[in-house]
Order: sequence, then structure tokens, then C-alpha cells
Amino acid sequence: MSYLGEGYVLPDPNVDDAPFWANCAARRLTFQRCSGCGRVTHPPIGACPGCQSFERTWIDAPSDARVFSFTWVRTPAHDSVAQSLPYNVVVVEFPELPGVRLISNVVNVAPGDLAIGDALTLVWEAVGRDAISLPRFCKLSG
Amino acid sequence: MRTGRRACVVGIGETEYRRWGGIQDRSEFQLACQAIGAAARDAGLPIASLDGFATYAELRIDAATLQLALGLPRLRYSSSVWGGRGGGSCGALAHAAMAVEAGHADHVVVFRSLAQGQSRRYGRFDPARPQGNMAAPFGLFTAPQMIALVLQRYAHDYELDPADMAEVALACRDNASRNPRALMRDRPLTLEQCLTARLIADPLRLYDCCLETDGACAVIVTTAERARDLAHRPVEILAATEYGEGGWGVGPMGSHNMPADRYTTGGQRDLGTELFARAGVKPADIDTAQLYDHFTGMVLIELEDFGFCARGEGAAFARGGRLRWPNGGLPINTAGGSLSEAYVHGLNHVTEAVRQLRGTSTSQVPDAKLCLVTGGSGISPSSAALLAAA
Repeated sequence: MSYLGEGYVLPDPNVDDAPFWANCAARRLTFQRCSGCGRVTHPPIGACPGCQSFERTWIDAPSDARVFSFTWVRTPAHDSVAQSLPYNVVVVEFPELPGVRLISNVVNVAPGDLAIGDALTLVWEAVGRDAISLPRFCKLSG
Repeated sequence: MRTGRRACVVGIGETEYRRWGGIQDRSEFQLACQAIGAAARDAGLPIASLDGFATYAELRIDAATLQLALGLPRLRYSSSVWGGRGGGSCGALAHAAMAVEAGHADHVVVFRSLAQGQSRRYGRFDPARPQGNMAAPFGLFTAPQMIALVLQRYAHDYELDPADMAEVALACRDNASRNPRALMRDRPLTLEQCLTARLIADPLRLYDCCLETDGACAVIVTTAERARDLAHRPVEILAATEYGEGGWGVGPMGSHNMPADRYTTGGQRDLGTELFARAGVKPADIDTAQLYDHFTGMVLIELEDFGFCARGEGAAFARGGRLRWPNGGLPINTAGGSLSEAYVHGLNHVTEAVRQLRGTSTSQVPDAKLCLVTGGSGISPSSAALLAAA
């Protein structure tokens, strides 16, 4: 059972973000790191904002993840989530990687149990017919 | 620049406004033709004198077909603001102003037409959103959800009570009650209703979110020299500016990786600085502001971004009725705005600014001389304009 119901809007990988999703399939959450200047950028785009290099490697996300912001969605904007309300959407930050933020969900909390600054740990969910792996998070207790 | 070349707005036109899906007897294309025709009549110009188009927000209408249908003998300028969606309203006005000031065209019409029942409802998932791969699989589909994340963080860092956001909705609704065009003219709203309305995405409730509308708007721009012979006292475009801040990307409309020190802004701080500098005026000079109001909380942030108050003070600025007509110091959205008149991607904010400066608003600010209009915030490139009574 995944966090959001059936009939998912799945990622449709493009040339720029395909390695991100391929790494997810291998259950690695990664960010684009410029081979030229070392800048880490998310989401993946075709050129480094620091030096315009096209060369990049992929680094693993730090394990220390926090809630930077969140919302509880109460009104569905797509049929797939109509049975999942309310659900949260979280902006995840990584204190060791300033400037990199990731949109995800925290799967083990109810409304009222989520706050900015909460510590999170990465979990993987396989969704859809092709079992695409999506990076999601659990709130760490205490 | 010789003042005779200075760009002015000389005509405004609108169709009726209906709730999204409410116009089915005419196409989005026909709505555009209707609004453009109304603007030409308002200006006292034959439609055939139009020789330029400027639009924005991923138009579904083709310029060649529009020229054909309007019977324009020549089209000398045609542009659409690239990206930014509703951020481009004043950007299109800037394009029109540049075209007439540089002599590329004589009369450029800026327009926006929406028939959401014939295309796509804005409050639903849009598969064409940039960086959608990083948002949609996580249930992040629409603007209110995306902006909710910004406002939740803002409320954590500063001060933002639900009643502060409601104040924006109430100011707009009150103005709409005097405007016969406004969709919400007969729908009075109370603070209690705002605070108990259904939640869309925390902290945004129903009345914190703009309408979804069918309808069209058009604005005709020409030079001051040509404007002298037309029907109305012209309204001068003191400045109209497009701006995308460094590092913003698609900001909150994507993966929320805008610069950390600007996360709780609308991405319009540099835009505001440049706009006021180009016009040679300051926020305290503004008589009334038509602020892009997709979401109430973002209007409070616009007050900060455009320099009416310091960061974190938008809510405090709005208290005590400061944004209300007629007694507030800065009456906003005097036709009702996107929250209560109509959502036409902000071009109805431009038409209302023109009415204020002609002295014909239904919530007229006495002796209004200078009006700020802003385009959509949180999105890039955004835009804004300063209009003045000539």
C-alpha cells in the first residue's frame, strides 16, 4: 500500500532527470553534482547554474533530513488522491546540503503530528504497474 | 525620450465574467475577439487600426487566425511573454509599450482570454507544469498546494494569522459588492465565513484562493501623441517591467529550490526595486494598488516585496483597514481582484487601474494619480507596472 491511492501520476523521465529516476529504481536518492565546479543542484537540469557545465555526477542524499515546510492537502486536484485525503506534502531539506530541497511525503503521521524542523528518515515505496520507486519519508520519533 | 512617444493605455474592454465552464456558447477565441472589439470601441478606434498583439500565459490562440478574424490589414508586432504564466500580465503591457515607443506598431492590444470549460480547469492537475516530475508523484498538483508550502514556512518565520489573510479576501469582496462586473458582487462575506470555510491546503481555506473564471480582457496601448485624439484621457505607462530573480527557477511552482533568503518572498523584491527606480516614484506615492491576488497570503507578501513595509510586516501593515476602500491608506483591488471580480490572469487588474486613473472605478479613490499593478507572484518571470493619470 503506497501513501497516495491508486491511479498515480507517475514521473515521466526526460533526458535531464532520467538518471535521478534510474537511481531511485536502485533505491538511491541522489542529487546532480557538477563535475566542473562541484555545485549540487535540484531538480536536475541540463546545465550547472554555477558554471554551465553539462558534466555531472550523482551524489547520495545525506541521511539527515528535516521538514522545511509542509501542507495538508484537503481538496483533491486529481482523481488518484480522492481517497487519500487529507494527505501531506512536505518540502524536505538536508542541513548538510544547503539549497537543496525535495518535495515528498511523510507517510507515518496524521494531521497535527507534523511540524517544521521534524527529523525524517528516507523510505522507498514502489508504485504503479512498473513498480517505480518513489522516495518518501518517515518522521523519526523523539 | 520625447514625451509624445511615451506609451499610454487608451482603451479597455472586457467580456462578461462567469464561473469556470460557464461560457460554452462562445470559444476562447471568440471571447478574445469580443474583448478586443470592446477595447477598440472604448478607445474610439476602428478595429482595423490595431497592428500589434501582446499576450502571455501560454495562449491557445493563434496570432495569424486572430489577425484574420479581426480583419486587421497589417500585423506589425506579435509577442507573448515567455514563461511565467500569470506573472506575465504586466510583462505583456511592457512588450506593448516597447513596441509603440520604438515605432514598430501604432496600436498594440494586450489581451487574455480564458474558457476553462473548453480547455483545462486551473485548480486541477496540469501535466505540462515544468518540473512536474518532482511534484505530481507526491500529490503536489496545483498552485494553492504549492503556495500553501510557502505560506506555512512564512507563518513559521514571521507572523501570519488566518484573520490576516482573511482581511485581504474581505477587502476584495467589499469592493466587488460595488462592481456590477464582479462575479461575487451579490455574495457578502464575513470574517467568520473566511475562518471556517473548508480547507484547500493548510493554511489556505476556500476564500483565500482566487476564483476560476471564464472571460476575456483587452487593453489598447499607443503613444501619447496618438492618444490625444482618442475618446478618453490617456493613462500613461510610467514603467512596466519584467523580472526573473537569480536562482529562482520555477520556485514554488516546482521543487521549491529558490534561494533560502528569498523562500518566504514572492520573488518580486528586485522587480519592485527596478520598477520604482525606472518610474522615479516610491511606494508612498501610490494612491491605489491592484495586487495580483491568486492567494490572500501572497498579497501580504507583495506589500513587503514592493516596499510598502519591511519583510515579515505584511500582515501588520494590512491590519486596521489599511487596504480598504475608501478610508484605508492603500486601497487595493478596487474592482474585487481575482478573489472576487474575476480571474483573468491579472489583466483585469490593469483594466481596473485604468478606470481608477480615469476616475471611473466603482470604488473610486478620490483624485487617484498613480497606481501600482502587479503580476503573479511566486512564479518567474514576474512583472509589474506603474500607471499614471496623464
